[in-house]
Amino acid sequence: MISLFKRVYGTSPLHLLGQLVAFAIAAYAFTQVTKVGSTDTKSLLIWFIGGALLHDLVFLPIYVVLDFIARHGIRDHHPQRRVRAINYIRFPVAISGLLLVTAFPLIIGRSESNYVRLTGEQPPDWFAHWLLATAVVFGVSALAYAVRLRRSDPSAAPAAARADV
Amino acid sequence: MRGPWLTAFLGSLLLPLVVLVGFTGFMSHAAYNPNLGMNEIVPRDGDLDLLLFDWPTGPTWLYALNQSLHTIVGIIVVPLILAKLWSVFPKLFSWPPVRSLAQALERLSLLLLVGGAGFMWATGLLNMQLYYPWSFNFVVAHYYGAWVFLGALTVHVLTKLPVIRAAYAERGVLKPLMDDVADTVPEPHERHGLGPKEPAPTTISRRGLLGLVGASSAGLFLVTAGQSIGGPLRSIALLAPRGRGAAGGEQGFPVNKTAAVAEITPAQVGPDYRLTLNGATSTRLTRDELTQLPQHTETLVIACVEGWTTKQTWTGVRLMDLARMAGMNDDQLLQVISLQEAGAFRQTTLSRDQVMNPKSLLALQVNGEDISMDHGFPARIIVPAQPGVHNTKWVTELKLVNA
Repeated sequence: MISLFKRVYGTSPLHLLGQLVAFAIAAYAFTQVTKVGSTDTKSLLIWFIGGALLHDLVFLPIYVVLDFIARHGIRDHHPQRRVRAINYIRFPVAISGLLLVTAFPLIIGRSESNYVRLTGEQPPDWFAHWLLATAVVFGVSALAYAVRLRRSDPSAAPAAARADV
Repeated sequence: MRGPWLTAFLGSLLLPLVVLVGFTGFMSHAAYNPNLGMNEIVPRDGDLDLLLFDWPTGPTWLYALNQSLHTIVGIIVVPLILAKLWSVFPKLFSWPPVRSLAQALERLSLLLLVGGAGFMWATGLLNMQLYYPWSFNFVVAHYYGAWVFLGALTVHVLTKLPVIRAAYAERGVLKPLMDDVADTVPEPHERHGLGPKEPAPTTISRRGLLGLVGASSAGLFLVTAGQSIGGPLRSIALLAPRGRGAAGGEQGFPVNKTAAVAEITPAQVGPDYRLTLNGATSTRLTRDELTQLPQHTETLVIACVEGWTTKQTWTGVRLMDLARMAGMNDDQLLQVISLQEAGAFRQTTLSRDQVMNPKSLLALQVNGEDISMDHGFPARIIVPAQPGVHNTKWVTELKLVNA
């Protein structure tokens, strides 16, 4: 009986039960949230489906292209160069990018009208804050790269065979 | 770089953090005491009341801790979530898309998981930043979204346990982190698997990748956590919505909503202002009469659901003294009503423990000055460990209600 089930379904009945639990909870939550008068089901679904696609269809293509450009744009295997530069670029770009992704309403001014209306104050210049944070992470990364380069310079120090990141 | 070990390891790091964010989320829901009076925001069917309890009044920083964890961990876990999604990206295009009924169902439940994560993190992050580009009630949708997400997550983890175990058994839990770039060998390619078919030259080690995630999380922490934790971090909270607070002075701490937004008029808070105590009898007190009652001073934190906190020194009348004046008995709760005429938090019902806590005040002063209009003049509630918006401002009436 179980083997017949496995042939038809693909795996054990427990798997099916588990999936059904997830669907049942989702269906319950959906009926509860759509009972509320202020809920616009279309908006809700757009945000839910959009949330599912956001990384794979928006973020990933952007960072894959950026990484491709970085990997092919930098001559990172120069015989004289013992420390690869790529990760000293990846790190600050990733950090700055994540700050932008998580705080974009502040940075591009989407929060401003509500901030002014609710708090009665002018908001700080978050765009400038983001630029400042970006400058700091690039600066720290450049400094780290310079230190690593110097340490790995065979003419400067004997213990140069340190592994890369 | 992709492969079952990497995905299992990223998932193992992610799980406890996500569980913490979920747990503190449900705790916050309970902290609003939605089972009392008209406190509910998420309509109550009664079927999930088993999750509710009388939210405690101490330690005084309890709600601040809860919301700091919810928001800070919620923010710093974002790089890890994205790394996890990156690690399983090839699965999106596995061909044929459906190989069995089981796999079809699992892909659908993954839509609930990934959609739930995207929904929860997007709405949570935007709500913290006072940006609401949607047409639903955030609280209701964020609450039920958590059910969808955590339900799908539980099933996903249980379904994947054998894969995780196999990956750790084969490669060790931590061993792949030891490899330098030169020794980093891609995980083997398998049909319908995660390992790359034609791996690009290795440019980063596995621990380097985790370092990238960790450095990104650290960056997010440094520019946001100050609004919750305070201290020196507050001055570098460059991208926190309520980082620096308001302009200086004794009352230069953040205002959630100004008197203007709440449409409080000067006439309402002028000489004709009265606080009404409604219980067995009805008493009306002027602000001067309130200042004649025994005054107490407490240093207490206001912690917003959005994660920002502010600790100030409040002076005023104990709520328990006012409740006793009104004749409060053991079965009664206290409903606090604001001069504010509209809005979800124009009234709040406090539990008996909250009213009877000696630190709970109807505050008339803050840091030695009369409370400003924007902070709730003539009088506001301050109760330890409760969500910020329950510390009702511009209080006009305290009313005893039956539990």
